[in-house]
Amino acid sequence: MTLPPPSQGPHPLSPAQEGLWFVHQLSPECGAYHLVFSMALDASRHRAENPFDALPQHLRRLMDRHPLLRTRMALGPQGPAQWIASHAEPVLRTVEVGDMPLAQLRDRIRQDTRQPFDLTSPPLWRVHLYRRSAGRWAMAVAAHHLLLDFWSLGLLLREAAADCGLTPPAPPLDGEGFFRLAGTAPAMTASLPHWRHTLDGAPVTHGLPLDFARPDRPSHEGASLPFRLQPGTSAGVRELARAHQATPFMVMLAAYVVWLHRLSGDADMVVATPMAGRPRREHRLMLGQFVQTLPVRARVTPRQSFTEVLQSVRHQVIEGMRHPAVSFAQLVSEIAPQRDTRLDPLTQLGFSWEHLPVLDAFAEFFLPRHDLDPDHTEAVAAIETSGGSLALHPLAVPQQEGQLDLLMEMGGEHQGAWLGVLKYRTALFDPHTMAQWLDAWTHLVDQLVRNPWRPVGDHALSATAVMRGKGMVPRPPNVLAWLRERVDEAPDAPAIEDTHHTWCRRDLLARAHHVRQRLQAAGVQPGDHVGLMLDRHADLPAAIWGIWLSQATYVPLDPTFPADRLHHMIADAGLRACVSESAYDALWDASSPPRVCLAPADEVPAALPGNLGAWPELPPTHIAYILYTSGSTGQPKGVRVSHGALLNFFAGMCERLPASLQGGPAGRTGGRWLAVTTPAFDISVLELLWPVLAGGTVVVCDTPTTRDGQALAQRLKGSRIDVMQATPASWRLLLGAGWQAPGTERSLTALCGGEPLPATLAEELLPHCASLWNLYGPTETTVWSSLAQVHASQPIHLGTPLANTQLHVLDDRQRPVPLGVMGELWIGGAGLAVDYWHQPELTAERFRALPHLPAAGRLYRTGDRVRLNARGHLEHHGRLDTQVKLRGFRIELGEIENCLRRHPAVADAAVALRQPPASATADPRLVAYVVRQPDARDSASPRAGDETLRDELRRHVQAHLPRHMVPSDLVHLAELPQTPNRKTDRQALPDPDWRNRPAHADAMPPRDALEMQLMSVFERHLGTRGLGVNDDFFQHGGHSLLAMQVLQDLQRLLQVTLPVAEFMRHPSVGALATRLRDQAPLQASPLVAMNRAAQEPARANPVAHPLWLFHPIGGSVFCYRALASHLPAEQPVFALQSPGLEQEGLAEVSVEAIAAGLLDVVRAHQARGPYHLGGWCFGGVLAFEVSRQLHQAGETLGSLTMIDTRAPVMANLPGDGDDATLMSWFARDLAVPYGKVLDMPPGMLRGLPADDMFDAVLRAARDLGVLAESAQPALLRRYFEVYLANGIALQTYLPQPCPLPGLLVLAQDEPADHGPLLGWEQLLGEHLRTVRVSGDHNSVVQEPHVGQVAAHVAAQWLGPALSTPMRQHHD
Amino acid sequence: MIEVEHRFTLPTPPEKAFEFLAQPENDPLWQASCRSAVLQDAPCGLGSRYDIVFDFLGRHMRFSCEVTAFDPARAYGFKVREGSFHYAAHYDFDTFGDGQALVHWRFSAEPGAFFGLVPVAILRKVVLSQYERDVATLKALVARQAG
Repeated sequence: MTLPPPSQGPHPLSPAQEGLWFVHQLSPECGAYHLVFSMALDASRHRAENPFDALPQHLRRLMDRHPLLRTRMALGPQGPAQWIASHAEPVLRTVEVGDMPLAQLRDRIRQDTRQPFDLTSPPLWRVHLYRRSAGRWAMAVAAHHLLLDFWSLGLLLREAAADCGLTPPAPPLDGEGFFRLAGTAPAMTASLPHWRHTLDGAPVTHGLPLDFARPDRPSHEGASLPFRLQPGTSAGVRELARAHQATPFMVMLAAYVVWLHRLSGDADMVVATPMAGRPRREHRLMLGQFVQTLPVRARVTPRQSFTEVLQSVRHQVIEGMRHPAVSFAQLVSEIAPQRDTRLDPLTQLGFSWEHLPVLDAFAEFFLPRHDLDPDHTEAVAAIETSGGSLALHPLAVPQQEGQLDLLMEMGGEHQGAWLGVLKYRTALFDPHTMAQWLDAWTHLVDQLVRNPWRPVGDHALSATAVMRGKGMVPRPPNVLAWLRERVDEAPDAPAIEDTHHTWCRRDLLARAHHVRQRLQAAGVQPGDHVGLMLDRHADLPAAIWGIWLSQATYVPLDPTFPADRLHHMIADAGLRACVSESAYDALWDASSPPRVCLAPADEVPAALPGNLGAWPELPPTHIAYILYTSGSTGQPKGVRVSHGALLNFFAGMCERLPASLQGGPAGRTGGRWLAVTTPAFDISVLELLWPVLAGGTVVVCDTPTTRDGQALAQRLKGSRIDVMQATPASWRLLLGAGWQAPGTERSLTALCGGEPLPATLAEELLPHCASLWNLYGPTETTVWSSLAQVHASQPIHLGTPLANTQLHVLDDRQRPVPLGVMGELWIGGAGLAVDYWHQPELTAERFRALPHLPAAGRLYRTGDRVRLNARGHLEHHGRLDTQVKLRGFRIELGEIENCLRRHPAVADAAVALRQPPASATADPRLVAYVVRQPDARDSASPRAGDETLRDELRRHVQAHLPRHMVPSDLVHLAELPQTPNRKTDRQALPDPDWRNRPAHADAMPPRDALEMQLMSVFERHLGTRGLGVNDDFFQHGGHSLLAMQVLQDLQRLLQVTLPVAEFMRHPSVGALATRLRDQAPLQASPLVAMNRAAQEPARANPVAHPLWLFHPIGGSVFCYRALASHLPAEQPVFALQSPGLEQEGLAEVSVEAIAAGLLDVVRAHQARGPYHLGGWCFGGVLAFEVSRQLHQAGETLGSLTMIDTRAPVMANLPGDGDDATLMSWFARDLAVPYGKVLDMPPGMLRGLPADDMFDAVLRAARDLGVLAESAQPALLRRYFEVYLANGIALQTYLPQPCPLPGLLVLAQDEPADHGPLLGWEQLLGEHLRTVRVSGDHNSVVQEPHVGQVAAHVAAQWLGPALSTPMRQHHD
Repeated sequence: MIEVEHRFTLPTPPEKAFEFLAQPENDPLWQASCRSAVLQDAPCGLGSRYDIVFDFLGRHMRFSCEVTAFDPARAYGFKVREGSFHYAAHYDFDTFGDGQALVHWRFSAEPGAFFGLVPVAILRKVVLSQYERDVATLKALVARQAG
């Protein structure tokens, strides 16, 4: 039977095409889905000047033969569709490239073939010809994947090869069958349960570390890295496949999964794998786009063997192929996974096995051999023409790059080895990282194949992420010898200062000697532990030196610490004595160790005694200090640091810090350091001791000044400080006090450490500093282990290690990771602490020699998540214990905190994951803790209310981070809780006030007509109710095709055309409304379609007459939302809002004029009666006046319903009020239609200037959710204008009685008494009917009462004719 | 500044229309917001003064005005000398059709902040709207007197 040729169309797109069509709508410039066939041609034996002169004719014949090649695509009335053009001209682009180098030519072809197609203009394929020198040519055929698949390309090539005589005649192609099939795509009902089950709870994205921040929407720019497996490995792949009844594709897919697992740590992933999608024999000669993409859900654990992973992947693939009647686009639609518009849906990872039999004859042309030089290889074939011979050479060109984050393509084979190409998005990954990962891939595949029974976690990856500090031997044998050298070198050089003292180096040593004497007198022996509890003054460093002169170990005790903590430390450390002062007597009891008080500094002779005694020996293993840090048990733990480690640290700092801060050999003095850190924090060691060793001066800052930003700023200036080291909190304190470099002088070197340095803080500091350094290091590796100078606009990183220090990035099994892969930082080298005092188990756990790194020695496990990036910088990615997982997303809390800090109103921020107490089964929630910027610091940050700022911050985070990272709660704090070391104390962050948090925080109702219409469209397409304006379309079941339908509705309802990509970026009602308002001018129509029949006239009951509802005094029609929802959906309900709400100056001041304007709108939509009119409150008056005007015009009135409307009669004339009273009423009535209360008493507003009055109402209305967050003062003024105009209109409207049949719906619970019939008997007389419903005046149009109102309205509107005459004639 | 003008006809000759409108003490008869008007130096003529009181938009206003134009059957005008704010008005009279009066009324005011939050655009509309209602009253009144 011969089937008729397909019509011109429209033909529906196949499910596979729909997905690609949507991608094209999102990114029309995208060239990632262009198939390319390219080759080089040698025409040196061809006589013609241009051997391709006849090519256009050949192409025309091809297009005549195959309608598919004349296809175009566009949005039709039923959605996207394709049409067959009766004629289209082939596109042939020829360029001269001369002697262009091959690499450049490849890139040129790559760029040319990625040029976008206009889908509406056929053909959706083209030919590029490149004329090279010496009779050489290159050709590339590019076709949009929407049009055809690789199989089809192979069929066409086969046909062309046969036409050229290169191959035997090919069977005729079926160029039309695809159009018949496309419209008959099988329903996926049967397979849906399988896919729902398979993809239930699948991760939304992968955990691969990115080199660059993910852009707002997927970028389709990509690059390729070809690779080749070793022949032995390739043979192993085949053998493994045979042994496990699998295919090489399954083996390589399983290997890909393991590789991804090892790089990302993901144990659960989805990989997209394209399939030919031609299950039936008759499909095999069809041209078209049949590809089906199969999502393979793979779970892998380190303990599984590769054979187990292979079996699992094999099962998944086979099961997937058993449920093939589904396209990826359909799957996304049906499964509706949680969406993030920055991510491709379902997965961003792909694996493609391209080994199509139909392409066998052309396999050489498709191998990813980008290094092959066609000019120096044998021709694969030659075409003989009358003009001579054309020799064909493979010329592989990268193609289809950027479709996914990562896509591995394999299937090609050459000389027994599998070839492949790794494609990656260049917006996300650096080529160096990819090269490293690819090395790891080929290495891993080899191991997996060689030893498939071994747990996949046991296989090593091929790279090592390690940074080694310079090797060096510190010159002085210990710090005391070093100090002595400095004193001998320049005894009178300045050394220590505080508020009252200035000591030279000799003074310092003398004072230290005094300490030594006092300790010896107290019986302190070498090796004893001596407490150090002093206020902040010059004795602080002197005492440390004195303790060391006694060969004892110091244990710092900050007197400002809580007493319990101090007592624990004193008891745990086993102190022999404590250097202290009388001010702290109260902290001591009978069990405390003896206190050693120093003589007043003034009483110590400035000169050194003649005989200092034997200069003490301090071997490297001797303990310099025990420093207590926070412990996970709640009790601090003591870290013992040796003199060897300390000496290494000091020597390392000399090597790294600028020479200008250090003294010279000729006694040149070094920098002046302000010491602000508590001695109980180990970083104090640097600022209290090192400066003197480096030839500089220590200025000990008193305690009150360290806590007062302004005083600190003055001290920096007054004491001519060159260097200050502090935590981010202290730097913020300083900046918060308005500190800045005096004039253009930037002399301060700023050292920041102790916590990650936020980029925002660095940006603030840099303009005021000579240089800024980021310092990193745990107490356990002696103060700092690495440092980096921070430069403007450059990413902050941890820098390079200090001398004799190694930084290792290891996976969770302590093996090195490849470059670019996240791991935990382990530190080795001379800086390691000895142990945790009295905690051998903890010491053994954190300080370890690793079997995988036998040469690394003992290493300290930091618990910090880091990555050595492609630029060789060590990036810090937070603590491993601050990484959380929420709804399948892995979230680094620090990323959210940094984003919050970038908002100008935020001084500091912390984020935590908290579980609401009453909903243990609910998801935990991200809670943001925010400290506001002080007003004085930032005039750009308006002192908005907490609620307003909350909304601002929410928008800010939404704009910069994916939705799953937007905190659901925000707590304002005066300051973040801090540990004694001035780090954020995360344990002390309070819980939010869960009780006052609504069950669904985002269920904010629409706040104006635009939002109301958008909400109605959203709810209709999503088939749901109760959405809030902040709810994400895609997170509530929306998908690409529904999105297109929404946009079509917007086009019809609002006459706005919005690109799909914009909708993806603004996927909530609120965001979309803001976006649409920005796109002004929107058509300012008073008409609001309230239900489906009004929005889609084609679906409305054709004989239905609309119901027209008129706005109440505020002008908006939100109050009718509930009413409309109770009325039949197939009967159109329109509401009329005041035109003045949308445009200034349109508010009228008489009821007659208002009604006349609205009547024009009504009649434009409904030319003839009967008219059904109604309104609540003032809306009832308008309905009456419109009825009156219709009556006078001789029109037919269907029904008139006044819902608890006071009649416009003398007794009901509203009173007047002053401005504050008017504004108070306005605020009240603004909220009433939303069922909310906005109480702003006149007394609160009276006396405020007009602008402030508006601002106050605006803020309150925004916070209450009756105005959008984006509502501006101008909008509120328009609303007020409308309100005022309507009020004035009501005051001056006293119509004559009119014999209209009207129904008055009375709110029987309204306490105000305006007469039993509200005065309507005076106007309608005997024509008035009344009904009573529950509710008061305001609640009668809200749930639960509105249902009764709707029943009466519907009876009037749709029920039997009124008993009074329907047609009223004007006489 | 608010500027409003309105043209209307009255079912009476221009002379009669002038006689009625150029008499401030008639204002309370047809202007709904006018509470009282007292001529200080009768008979009314150029330079005459009168005191007038209004209640308008919930506000009570007192003005002392001076007649600035008095050309029988042709023109009549006045302006505020003292009061809540400044305003001025001018009437031109002409003959319309078969002997009716065609009146052209022009009014300007500078209320400043007197009306508080009421926007100028609304104020202008209210003045005109109210005046149109008053003219309806005036027409009825004139018609009754003519009848």
